[in-house]
Amino acid sequence: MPVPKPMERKQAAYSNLDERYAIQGEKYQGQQYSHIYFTRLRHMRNLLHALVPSLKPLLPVTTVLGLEEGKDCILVGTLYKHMKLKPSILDEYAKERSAIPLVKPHNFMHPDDHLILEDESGRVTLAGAIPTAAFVTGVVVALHGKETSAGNFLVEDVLEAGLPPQTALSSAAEDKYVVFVSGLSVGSDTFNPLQFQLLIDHVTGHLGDENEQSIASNIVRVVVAGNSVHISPRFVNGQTVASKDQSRIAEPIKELDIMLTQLVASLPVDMMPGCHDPANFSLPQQPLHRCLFSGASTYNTFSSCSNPHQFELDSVQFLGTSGQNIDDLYKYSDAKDKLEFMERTLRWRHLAPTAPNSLGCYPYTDKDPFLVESCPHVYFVGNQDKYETRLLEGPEKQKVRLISIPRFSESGAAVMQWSQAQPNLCLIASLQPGPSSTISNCQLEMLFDFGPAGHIPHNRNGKEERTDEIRL
Amino acid sequence: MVGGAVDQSLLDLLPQIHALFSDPLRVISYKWLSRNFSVSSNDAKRLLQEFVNKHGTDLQVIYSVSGWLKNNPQSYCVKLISGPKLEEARQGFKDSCSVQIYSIQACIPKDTAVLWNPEFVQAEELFNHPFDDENCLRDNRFCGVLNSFVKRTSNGKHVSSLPPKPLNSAAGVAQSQPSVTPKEQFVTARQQDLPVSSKQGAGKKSEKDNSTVLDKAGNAPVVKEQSIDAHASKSKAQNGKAMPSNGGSLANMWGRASAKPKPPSTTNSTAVASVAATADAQICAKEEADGDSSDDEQGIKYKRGSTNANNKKRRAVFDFSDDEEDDNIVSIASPELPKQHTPDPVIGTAEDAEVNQKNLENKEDVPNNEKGSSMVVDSDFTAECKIKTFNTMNHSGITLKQKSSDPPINDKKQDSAAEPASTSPKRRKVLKTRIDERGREVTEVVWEGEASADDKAEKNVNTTAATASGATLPSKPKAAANTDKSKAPSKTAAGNKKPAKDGTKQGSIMSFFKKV
Repeated sequence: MPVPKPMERKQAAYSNLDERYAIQGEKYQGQQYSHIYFTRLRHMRNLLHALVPSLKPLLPVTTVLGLEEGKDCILVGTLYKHMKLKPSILDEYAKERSAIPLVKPHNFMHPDDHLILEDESGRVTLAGAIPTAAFVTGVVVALHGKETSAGNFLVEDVLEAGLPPQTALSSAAEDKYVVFVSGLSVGSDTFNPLQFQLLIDHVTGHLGDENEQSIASNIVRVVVAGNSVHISPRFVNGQTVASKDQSRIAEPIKELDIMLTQLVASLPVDMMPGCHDPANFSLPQQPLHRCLFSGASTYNTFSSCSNPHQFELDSVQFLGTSGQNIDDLYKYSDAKDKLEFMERTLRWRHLAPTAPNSLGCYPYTDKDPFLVESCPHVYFVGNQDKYETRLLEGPEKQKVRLISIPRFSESGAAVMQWSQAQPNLCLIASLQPGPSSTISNCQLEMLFDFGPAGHIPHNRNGKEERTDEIRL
Repeated sequence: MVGGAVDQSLLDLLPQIHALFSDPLRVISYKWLSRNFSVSSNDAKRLLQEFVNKHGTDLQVIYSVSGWLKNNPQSYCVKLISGPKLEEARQGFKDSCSVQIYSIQACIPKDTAVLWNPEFVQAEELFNHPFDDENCLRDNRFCGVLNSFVKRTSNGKHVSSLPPKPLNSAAGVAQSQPSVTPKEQFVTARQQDLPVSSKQGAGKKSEKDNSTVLDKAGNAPVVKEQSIDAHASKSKAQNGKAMPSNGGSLANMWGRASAKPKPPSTTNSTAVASVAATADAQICAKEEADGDSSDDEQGIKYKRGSTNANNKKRRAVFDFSDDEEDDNIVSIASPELPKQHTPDPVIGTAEDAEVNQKNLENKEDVPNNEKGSSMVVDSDFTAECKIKTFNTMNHSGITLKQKSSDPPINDKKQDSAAEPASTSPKRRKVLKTRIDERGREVTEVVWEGEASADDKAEKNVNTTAATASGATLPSKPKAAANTDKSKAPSKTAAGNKKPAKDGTKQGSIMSFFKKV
């Protein structure tokens, strides 16, 4: 049998659309956050004003101060959610002395929460048909209702901006895949280097026979969506690091660099920062510095990207974050799953409405870069608890594949997305983790989803059947 | 993987593999084998298979099984399985699964990391090779899937992991970067002169400029050379070469983290980042070019300033300083030159002009002994910034020129505010009202004759409709220009006095000399 010729990896036309998230050109002059709210309100209000006549044609649009009691009208403004349990900075300051590890996100909701609508002229408390649990501070909506005698605004209907327009996809010529992975957490206790190596070997095409390698040759890009390193918190709590410990800080990054070099030598990689990465805290997180990746950054296939990250591959628009926006929504509102939060952010046309209220964000003066102006074809969020996907359809034939990428080190899944005209096809590579890093738990698994809008049966639940399949 | 003929050359390696097993702890994975014996991964797997066929009885084998699962037909699975369990695992797969040897070892370790470790040690060792060396890790030569579009910058001069030596090797670096975009090259040119951080250092910019003025000769050839190279090879820059380790690495040292290499790299990304340095470089380039009177060959897209020799001393307006460092404000040009005539000296190439202007203004400060702190800042930085932007957009040039003693556009209030203050040597509180870009009417209390950066006194912000801003837009640049102009001449008059350090809300000694 002749030696098979090595295959050539497919290529895709890539363009990075992250300019809007670059802070390089901004100059901080001590401004606060009113500007970003103002810009958001102005932008969304223009949109909503354009939409209102088609949906509620005969109603006048007023400002809060222009409300008249009993008169039906439309109000457009920013929502503010008054939450009893929301942590206050004063309480946190009082507790500051005690050593606090990273706070686990939990929900701050309370039945007494209520919504307030605010525009430049004033505020009014909302009541009525507006589901408080679904909304968060910072969302701009149009409300149909009337003022009550109590001074509240009784909401009859809520009008969101809805999905933005979407550009058309070009027809699919051939299959190409994009691999999403997040939460590698190199350097943490949960990190299993063999699993990561398996993923790299599979994606680069070392592992497997021709069939497998032909699948690998169709992969055109890997997107690492945040939290790639984990530096032990005791080194970054503000105290001086002993010289013997200093190398420990750099070890995870060095290891990640070596692994990344193997990847970038084979295919393009987009590297996004996450909340645990050595990047800035506030959104938009700026790209990780190239000096961290002395090996990988020499390749033209390595791109360090911002968080959020937006790019285009063969006319397919991708947009995604490393998870901070959805995690924050989870803290302050309720939904049946993370995908629903993602859907809401698209309907509100804003990636991170809770910024800057509860999510750190740069105080922009003249723009709000999180506004979603055109609908992506693939919308991904990293560092979530489990893998989920859904195809969202909009009223103007928009189709968005929503993907929630689980943390690799915990649940061990990387997602492979078919980057072509069929966003309903989704491959998932999942590495099953184990309670301990034993060989019995090392497998690389990929799931195909042929359903148009189905949830993938989540195989995390079937861990029992997995572990006894492999006994070494 | 069963079957497949193996070359005789590979078979010759079998005894060597056997010898390796004299070490009972050794784990040989196919990857390790391929790197160690310089064979492709596929060959390494075949080799392992042959080895196991011959000597497999006293060794434990781990297989990787990949295929479609039977019970979950939508899932493609790759598993690592030890020898005894192979058949059982294969049952879970559909028939077309493939089995390959992943590794062989004397005994199965309990910890997966032991499987991975030798491979990693090997990888690390290859990773740590000298930067220029190509090795199997770096070019992925043993992979079953090849990608010819991957390029690695291995030019020895483009060491990205080391901090650039500012002066010594900078020249070498500069000249060895033919494929860097013009902007980056100018950044390099700047850095040749001084090891300064242009992002933060207001004062440092001045050093650059000064040295430029002094070292014309040194600068000119480099700049020219680079520009020629840049121009000639600009197309190369778009080619997908890894940029960052070229000028990018140097640029990064100056905080241009956004200067990433992207195959379709736009000048915008680097340009925005390195605007100020660029602008400076180009200004200086222009100066030298003027001096050399041969800018045609340069291909740098800028327009000649109307006054060349006179431009040597330009005034830099530093409006955005949050601090009161009066070192920043320097007179570097004759104030009487109406700089409105100055055409766009810098921003020729495709850049975000607005951002550039902002940055330019931020960085155009050359320290002088003059503490012209009064000249610039109103309490509303944002507004100032915006206004400046609009202003410069109108003029489409660097705002080096706002120091005409007779501004063509006149905002009555501000002038009148300026005038009375000028008559008295004491600083005075003056009310100024203007409309900022957001449509708000801003009334500020300003200490006339000095930087009121800290003067965030009463600000009467009336958030009228944003539409108002549209109407008042034309007046904004005028307002800005005038504000600056009224202050600028006073700075000039101040001469070379040593500026007093500005405390909060305190006047500086320069206020005596600020009035026009």
